[in-house]
Amino acid sequence: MQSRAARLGLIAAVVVAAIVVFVVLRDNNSNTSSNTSKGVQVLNVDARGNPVGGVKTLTYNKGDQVELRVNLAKPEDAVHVHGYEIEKPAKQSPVTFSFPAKLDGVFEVEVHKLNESGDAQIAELHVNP
Amino acid sequence: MRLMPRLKLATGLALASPVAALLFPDAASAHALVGRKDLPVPAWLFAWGASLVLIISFALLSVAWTTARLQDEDWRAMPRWLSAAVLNAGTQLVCGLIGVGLFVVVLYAGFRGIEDPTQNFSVVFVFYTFWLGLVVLSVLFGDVFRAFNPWRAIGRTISGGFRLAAGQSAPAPLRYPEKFGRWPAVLGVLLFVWLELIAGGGASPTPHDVAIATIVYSAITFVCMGLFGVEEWIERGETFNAYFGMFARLGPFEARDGEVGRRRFLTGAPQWAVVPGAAALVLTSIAVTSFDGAQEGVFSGVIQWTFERCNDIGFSLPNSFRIANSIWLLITLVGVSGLYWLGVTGMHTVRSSPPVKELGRSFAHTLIPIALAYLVAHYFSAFLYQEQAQFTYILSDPLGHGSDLFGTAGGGINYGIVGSNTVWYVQVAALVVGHVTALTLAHDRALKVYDSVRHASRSQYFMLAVMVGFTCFGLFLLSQANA
Repeated sequence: MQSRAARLGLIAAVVVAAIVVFVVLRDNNSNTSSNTSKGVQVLNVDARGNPVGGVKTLTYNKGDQVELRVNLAKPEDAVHVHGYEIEKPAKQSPVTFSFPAKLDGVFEVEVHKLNESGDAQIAELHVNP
Repeated sequence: MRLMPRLKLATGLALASPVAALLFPDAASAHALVGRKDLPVPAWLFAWGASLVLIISFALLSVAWTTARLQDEDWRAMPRWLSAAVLNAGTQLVCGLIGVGLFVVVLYAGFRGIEDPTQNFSVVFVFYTFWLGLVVLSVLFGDVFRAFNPWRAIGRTISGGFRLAAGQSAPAPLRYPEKFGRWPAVLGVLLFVWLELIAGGGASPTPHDVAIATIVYSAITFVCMGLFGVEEWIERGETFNAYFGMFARLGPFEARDGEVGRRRFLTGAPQWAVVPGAAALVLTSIAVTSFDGAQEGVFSGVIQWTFERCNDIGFSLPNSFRIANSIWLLITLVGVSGLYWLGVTGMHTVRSSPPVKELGRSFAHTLIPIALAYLVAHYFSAFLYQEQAQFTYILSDPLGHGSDLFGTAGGGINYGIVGSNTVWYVQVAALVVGHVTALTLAHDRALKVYDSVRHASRSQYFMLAVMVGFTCFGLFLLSQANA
């Protein structure tokens, strides 16, 4: 395998193989998932400001409408969607959100508790490209 | 690292409110920028990256060259006017002043600025612009940190003043022991990353922590410069010079004896000084990046488990976090180093091998591209976001007190600057390119170390296994939830 032609041939073969595998794999696995969260998603928050049943993962495709209803057991400071930087006061329950998923990536939804007592993540938005 | 203004433990145990309030006073959150995390690389892209790595590796083995080509650096000076323009006394003075100026701003912002790390110059500058940005600059333009190194600038000024006053150079009472090699830098990198990821006990380190750490590190550096001599310590023992200098070896440019020069592609890395601790430095870099990627992803379960056990036996929540994460940082370090030294031990079974220790050192530079690839894959998007912060509101309002020095205080981070697809392709491409570069360097070094092409090729089966291991581990980390 020391001749120049043989080397170039092998390199070309590798490039072709890489491209073919890429195209095949990519076409068989579209990024857009059909397993997305539709409609209004309800997030319940307990009296300590923590999510009931743990942090929920909500999956969207880019461009979907994100609709959230956060039910609070007691007044909090604010509910904050990171990355999108939407923050709504949380003196009264429920706090509702409705916005288009324009950015892809992973974003946290947090409750900012009253009296400077920290933040609690209540949901994670996964927006597929 | 993700900048977290306030304490938030991953899951489970929530902090009792009064404790949190005491430890982490609330901060105004005009720009709350915990922001966006990367989506995991999709399974198909992970599969493609991994298979590409295998295909390329075996192809490379079969077309490999038979005489070492990269061991001779062939450094050549560039036109004289360029050296005169870049390396004159004036630019040295200006660069030194900029370095010292930024150093002072880090301290001042750390002590006097807002406690919210996302709003304070010191945290964003030290962990993003400095720690990551200088790696990029080092690869592109050579060892630029030397010119801006504030400790070197201050040390040179003091020793220059001494020379003027006493009429002779300041004496260095001790010689730097050769066996220390790069070990001080290894320790420095570990402590730096410990500060970044662990010291906050579940939150980002505060600006105050950063300022204190800067003072402690400066004190140690000045004492050591006094003991071993300014240039001697900077060259050998100073953490950041050793760390950025390591990445500068991958690039084409280097200044020597007052002249700017360039070398052939990839011929710089093999010249990386073979000293004790060289392998440890590059392995530490790979390990700490892996740990940052795994901390809230692959390792989150075991870290949480360790954390709860520590808490059970009576440690406070922040201390439990620190202990659990320190343990897993060390486990990562042992695992990463173990893989490399296992490969070296395997290589050692090939006839005409030098002793294991020497063999390990002489292949250490082959891992620098993998360390760089890990950095790019892990921090690409976070760096782009944080630099937007650095050059908008952090620049105009470094203390977070509402000033607007350059009219950019109202700016923010545009998370739409790169989409997930771009991030994924950059991540996978970085790992694949790093892998090929590492294999290339290793094969070439083997041709120099071993007495025949046959032995050299045989030794590379082991290195190939090591490199495939690192690259696929890197891809795996990206394909899992990371932060």
